[in-house]
Amino acid sequence: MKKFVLVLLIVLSAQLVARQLTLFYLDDKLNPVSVRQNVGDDSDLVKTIFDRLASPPNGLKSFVPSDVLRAYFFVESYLVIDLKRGPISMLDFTQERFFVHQLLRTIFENFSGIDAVYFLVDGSRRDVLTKMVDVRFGFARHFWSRWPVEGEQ
Amino acid sequence: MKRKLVIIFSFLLIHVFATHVYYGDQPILISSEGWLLKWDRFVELLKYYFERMGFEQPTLGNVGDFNYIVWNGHTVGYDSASKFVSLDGVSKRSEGIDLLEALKVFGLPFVLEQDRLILPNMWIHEIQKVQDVIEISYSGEKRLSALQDGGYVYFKSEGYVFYGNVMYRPGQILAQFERASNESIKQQIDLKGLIRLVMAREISVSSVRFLELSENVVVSENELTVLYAPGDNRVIIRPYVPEYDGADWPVYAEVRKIAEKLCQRFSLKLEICPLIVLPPQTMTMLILVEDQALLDELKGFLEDLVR
Repeated sequence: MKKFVLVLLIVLSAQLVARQLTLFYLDDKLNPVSVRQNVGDDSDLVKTIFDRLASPPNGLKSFVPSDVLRAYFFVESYLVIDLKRGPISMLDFTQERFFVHQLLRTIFENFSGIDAVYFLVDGSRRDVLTKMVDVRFGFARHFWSRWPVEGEQ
Repeated sequence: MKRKLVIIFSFLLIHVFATHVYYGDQPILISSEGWLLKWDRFVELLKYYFERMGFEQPTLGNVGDFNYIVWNGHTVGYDSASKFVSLDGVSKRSEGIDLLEALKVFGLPFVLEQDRLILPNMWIHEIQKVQDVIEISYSGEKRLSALQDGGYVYFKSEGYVFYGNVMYRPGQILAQFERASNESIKQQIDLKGLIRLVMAREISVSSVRFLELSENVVVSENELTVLYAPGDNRVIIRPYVPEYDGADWPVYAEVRKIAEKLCQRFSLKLEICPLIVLPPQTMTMLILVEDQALLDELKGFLEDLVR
């Protein structure tokens, strides 16, 4: 009994220390599916978000490629994300948009203090992410604090 | 009484015949020795000026009696014992530092007006217009005003402004940009070292133009430009831009209102995404439809809507 209580306490304290991330994946019709996962309190949350989004659970899909994060930094209430060009260069029009939606929706959900996200590619400011998405300006929380696609599901 | 008058008169004479260094319109140094300054006064002047301009401070050093100052890759030195001045390695005998020569060595601009040497109090590094935003990055003080008159936006110097290798005096126009008849300055944002002007256009569309999606789309100001491509029945519009501080909200609201009605009528999805083919502050949207035969119907609906 004493042993059981001890194990229970350890499990409970681990649960309390762990932080939960809400991650946004996609179903077959590109509708968002949110999944909550535990991460250690000392984890690098931005990197963890990228890693987890790149490995969707069974039955779900993701357009976030693995090893795409080059660097990131916070500037006041902004998050600047520097991406590697290689992994995103092959994204088509749909994948490019939903890569952005998945990533931003997840970041704004998990970082309440961020007002806008900016993208760099290979350390430089670019006009487009790969082909179509304009990354010259910031991406405001207002639009990605909910899923940015409305209408018929 | 006579002695007092002599002293006052001497002071006046010194003042009248002295040379002055100005930071824009503020005097920062009075010299009775012309432009030939003692080393310490020269160094203090430079340090003070760089601080006011927000420039990196110079590096100072000495080897025996030889003192030197390095800034921006250039060196001015003075040997107080042998009275030799060194300007970027070129030495000559001098009783002090010739301010005009030293400023030239450092690449610092100035103008001479009678007995006054005027250093710029604003140094513009760049003025650029990207779509609807004009950005001016500068050092020093903000001594610039923006005016809109006729078909242009003008930038007028309100001090001694150095821009593009030219020193502009107060009142001079230093740059101008063309503007459309329905375009005006919507907002001016002043940050340290940066002025941002957001231009906005009045919304007055009365017709609709359908264009196939391509990279080279020219958007007309008086039309609702609708791009189309095969896809999964959705309308994509651009969100407003955080940097515009609300200047593009009216256009966004108008485009969204039209897009919502279209989506509601034809059971389409509405997606928010900043596509490069949908420039900020323009009445544009992208429609992705499975059945291309629907396009005529969509066009008819939109034409009725904007009429």
